[in-house]
Amino acid sequence: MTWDIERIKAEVTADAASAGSLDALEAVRLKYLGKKGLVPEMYAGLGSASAEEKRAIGKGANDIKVLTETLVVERKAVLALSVKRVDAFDVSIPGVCRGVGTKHLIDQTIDEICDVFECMGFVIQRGPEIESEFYNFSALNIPLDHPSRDSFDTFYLDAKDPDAIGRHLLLRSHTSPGQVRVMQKHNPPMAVIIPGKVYRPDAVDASHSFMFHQIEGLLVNKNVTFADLKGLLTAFCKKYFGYDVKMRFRPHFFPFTEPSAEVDIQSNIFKGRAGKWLEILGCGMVHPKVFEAAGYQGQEHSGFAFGMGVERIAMLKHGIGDIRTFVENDVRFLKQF
Amino acid sequence: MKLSLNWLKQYVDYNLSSDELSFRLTMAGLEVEHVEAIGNDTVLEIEVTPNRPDCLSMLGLAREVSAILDQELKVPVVSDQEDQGSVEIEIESAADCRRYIGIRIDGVSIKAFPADKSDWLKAIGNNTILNIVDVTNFVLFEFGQPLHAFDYDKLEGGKIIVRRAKKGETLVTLDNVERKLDESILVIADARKPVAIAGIMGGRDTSVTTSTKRILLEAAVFDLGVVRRASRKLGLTSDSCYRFERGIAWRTAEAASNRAADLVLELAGGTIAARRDVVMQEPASQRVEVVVSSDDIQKLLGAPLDLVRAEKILKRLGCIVAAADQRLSVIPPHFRNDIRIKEDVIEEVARIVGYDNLPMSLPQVPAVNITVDLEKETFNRRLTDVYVGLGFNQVVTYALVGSAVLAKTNYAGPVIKLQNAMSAEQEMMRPTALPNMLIVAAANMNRGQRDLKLFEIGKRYIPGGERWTLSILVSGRRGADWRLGKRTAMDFFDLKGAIEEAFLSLRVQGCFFASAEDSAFELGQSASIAIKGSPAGKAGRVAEDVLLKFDIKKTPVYFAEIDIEVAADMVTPRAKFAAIEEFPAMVRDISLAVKDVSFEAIRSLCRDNGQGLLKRVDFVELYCGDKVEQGYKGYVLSLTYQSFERTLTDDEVNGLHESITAKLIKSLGVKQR
Repeated sequence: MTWDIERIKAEVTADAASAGSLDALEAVRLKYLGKKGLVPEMYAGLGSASAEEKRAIGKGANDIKVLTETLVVERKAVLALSVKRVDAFDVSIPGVCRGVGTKHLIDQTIDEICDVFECMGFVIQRGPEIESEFYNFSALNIPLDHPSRDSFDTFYLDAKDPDAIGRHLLLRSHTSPGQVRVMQKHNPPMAVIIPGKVYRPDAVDASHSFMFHQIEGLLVNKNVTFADLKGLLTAFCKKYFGYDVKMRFRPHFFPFTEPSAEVDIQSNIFKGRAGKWLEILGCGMVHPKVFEAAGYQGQEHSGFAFGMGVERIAMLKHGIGDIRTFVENDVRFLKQF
Repeated sequence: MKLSLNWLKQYVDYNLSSDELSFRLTMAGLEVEHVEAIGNDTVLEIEVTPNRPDCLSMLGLAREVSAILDQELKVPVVSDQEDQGSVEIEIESAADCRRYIGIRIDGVSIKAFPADKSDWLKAIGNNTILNIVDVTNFVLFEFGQPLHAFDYDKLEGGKIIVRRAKKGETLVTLDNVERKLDESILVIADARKPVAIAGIMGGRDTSVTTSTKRILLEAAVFDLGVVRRASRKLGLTSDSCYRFERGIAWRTAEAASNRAADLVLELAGGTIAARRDVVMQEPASQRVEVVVSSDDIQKLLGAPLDLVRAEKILKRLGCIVAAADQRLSVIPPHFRNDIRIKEDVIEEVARIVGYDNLPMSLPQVPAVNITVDLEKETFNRRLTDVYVGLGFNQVVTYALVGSAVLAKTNYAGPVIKLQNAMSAEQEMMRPTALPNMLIVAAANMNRGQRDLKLFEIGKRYIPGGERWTLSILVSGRRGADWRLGKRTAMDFFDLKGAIEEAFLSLRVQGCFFASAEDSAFELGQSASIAIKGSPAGKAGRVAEDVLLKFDIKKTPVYFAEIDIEVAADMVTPRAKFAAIEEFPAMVRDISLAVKDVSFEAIRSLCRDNGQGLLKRVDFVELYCGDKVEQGYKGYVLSLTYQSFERTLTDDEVNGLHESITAKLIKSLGVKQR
C-alpha cells in the first residue's frame, strides 16, 4: 500500500485547525494517533512492503506522528484560552497568612528618622531616662533659677542624686542630656542621634502627655558652622518630608545653643495643613558652656545640636488628632501601620 | 505679649502692613502667634522667649522693630528724681528685694484717663479703672516694670516693710479673694499688716480709690525665684508676676518709676512730697565688653557679614559699639543680660539679618565617628523586627504606674517613686510592664479584639537602675487561616516558643526555663528564665485573681518579661560553617507515660546514653487523655540517630534505641506505651 504523505500532512493540519473544542481536538488526535488511527495503520502495513517502501512509509508515519502531536499541543493551547478548567485557581482567594505583626507607629517614626541620619553618617546612642540635675539642666547651661527647673515642669524622684548633695534625681525632660553624656564619654569628632522617652508633668489631653518621645542630634567637629546646620537639616527635611517641602529657620531661644533656631515647614504630606507653617524641630550651635560642662577645652571644636518630637511628627504625618491614641494600643490602630 | 500697633507708632515709624510686620518680627525671633483687628487698631500676640524679658514691653518691642527696619527709636523723655522728704521703707532681706523705689505724691485727684492711651490699653486687654491705677498699668506695659500705687493714708504708720509673711497672716487681694500667707511668701506690709503680695498683687484695702488724696508709688526689684514660688503656691498670677518671674532690669525700675510720677503729675495733679530709692544690693555689672571680629562671624555662621551693617543693627538694639580693624567692641545695653559672649552678639546680628538670608552648606560628617557595638546597638531593633515577623503587635505603654494598679498584679518588690507625681495613677516608675499590658489587653478585649499577641520593648525601673525589657502577652486563639488547622487557644508554650525563636534568630544561646512560682502567675504554670545561668526574666499564666482585677474573666492570659540587656550580652558570635552531614539519619519514635519527670530530664538522659550517635531528641506530642494511666502524661518523642563517618545499620540503631529506652524506664521510672 502506498501513502500520499504530503496530502495526509495537509489533512492533519486542516483537521487540527478546524477542531473547535478540546473534544473535537481529541477526536483529531485519535483519528491519526489512536489505536485504530492512521499512523498505527501505516505501521501495520509495513510487513508486506519492500525495504525501500518500509523506509519511506516509516519516515512518513513518524513525520505525521510528530506533526500531529505538535499541532494538537499548539491547538490545545489556543483552545484552552477560551475554556474554563475545573482545576483552575481562583487566584483572588487570599494566600495562607500566618498573621504578620506590626511595629508601633512611634518606633516606625523613630526608625525612619534615624535611618535618614544614619545614611548621613550619624550613629545611634541612648541615654538614661532617670537623670541628674547636672545632665538635665546645669550642663546644658540652664541656670538654677530657670523656670523649667521648677518641679512643675520636671518630674523629680524620691531618690537622691548620689553625686550631688541634697539634690534629687529626675526624669529627663528632654533628650538633650544625652549630648553631654556622649561628649563626656567620647572625644570629638562625632555625629550622633539619640532617640528616647522624655517626661514632663503635663496633664494628659489630646495634645499633651506626661511621657513622649524625642530625637536628639549632635555633630561636633572642627569648623562646624551655622551654615552646616542649615544644610544638614534642610537635607533631612527634604528627604523625610518630601523634596517640595518649604522651610524656614526662625530665631529662637535654647539655653544650650547659640545661635538657636526653630525650623518651621510646610509639606504636602501633612494632609489638611497646606499653607500652614508648622514648627517641627529646634536647633542651634552648641553653646560654649555645654562644651565646658562636657570637659572639652579650648575653642578648637564647634558643633550643632537639634531635637524633635516624635509624636508630633507622626501625628502631623498621619493625621492623628489625639496623642493618647499612641498609648491606647487598640489593635485596630496598631494594625493600620 | 500683646502689641498694639497704634501704640507702637508712638515709639517708631514704620510703613508696613500688619502681616508684613508680623512676618519680620517672627523671622527676627519674636514669633507672632495671632493677629487681631480691634477697632481701628491691630493687635499682635507675640511669643517672647524667656531670655528676652525686655520684650515684655512696648519699648522693647519698638526697639526690635527699629532694628529690623533701621528706624529711629523714640523713647519718652522722663524727669530725673532725687530722694527727698520722708517716707519710711524697710527691707528685711536683700536676697528677697534688692531695690525699692517709693515716691509719695500728695494732692492727687481722680480725672479721666486720656482717650488714646485708654484705647491702647483696652486693645491689649486692659480696662481703665482709675487714672492713677491706669498710669501704673500703662507704664507696666510701656517699660515692662511692674508698679503699684498704695493709698498712702491707708498705710498704717505711713510705713513700708518688705518682709516674709508670718504664718497665719492673710490678705484680701485686689481680686477680692482672701489669701492665706506663710513664711515662703514675700509681702509688702505697713506697720501692722501685709498690704500687697510682692510682685504679684496688691491688697484691696490699701488700693487707690476715688477718695484717695495721697499715694505711694512703688517700683521694686524682687527676687524672681521668690515671686515665682509664691505665685505657684497661691495659684495666682498677674502681668506683674509674669514680668518678675522673667527678670527685671535694674535701671528700668528707676526710669519706669520716674515715668509714672511724671504721668501722675500730668494726669492727676498733685506734687511729689517724698521719694526714697532703697538700694539693698546693686547687681554686679554683667555688662562686659564683647569683641567680635569678622573672622569670628565667618567661623560661627559659615558666612561673612558686613561689619558696617552689623554695627548699625547692634546700635539700634541699644548696644554701644566701637568699630576698628575688622572688629566690633560691643557693650550690650543694661536690659540685655542675655548678651554675654560673642556668640550672643553674632546671633543678634544674624537674627535681624534673618537666618533664611544666610547661606547653607553640608557639614563634614566625621568618617571616623565614635565607636559603637553594632550588635548591641541594633539588638532592640532586630528583636522588634523578629516579633513583628512572628505575628506580634508592638505596643507602647506609660512608664509610670500607680501603686493601686501595681498591687493588682501582686507586685511586692521595691519601686522608684516620684516626688511630685501629678496623680496617684502615675506616682511611680513601673517595675514591671505587666499592669500596663493587662490594661491594654483588657481594653482590646472589651472592644472585641480577643486574639492578642502583644509585645513591648521598653524599660523597667528598679532601685539601682533602669533595664531594657521585652514584655510579651498572648491571649485568645492562635493562627488566623483555616488552612493551618483549627484555631486553638494559645497557651504558655506559644509564649515560650516566641522567646525561643526570637533568641534563635538573634543568636542568644543558653536560654533556660525552670519551674518557678510567682505571685502574678497561676500556681504551677510559670517559669523563671535564665540565659547562660544569669537570671533574665519570667513567664507564665497570669493568675486568675489578677486578671479579675483587670476585668478579664474566663480568658487565660500569658505574660513574659525578659531583661534584654542580659540577652544582648549573651549573643554568640556568628558560627563558623559546619559541614553538612553526608550520611543518612535514622529516626525512631518512643511513646512514654511519665509522671513527675521533665522532658528536660528525659532528653539529657537520652543524650548521655546516645554513644555519640544520637543527634536530636524532639518532642512530638503531648497526650493527657484517658488512654494514659491515671496520674501520668503521654509523651511521644522522636530520636534521630546519625553518624558523621558512615551509614548506620538498622540493627545498630535498634540496639541503641532499645538500650536508651531501657535506661529511661529504669532510671526515671517512665513507662513505655
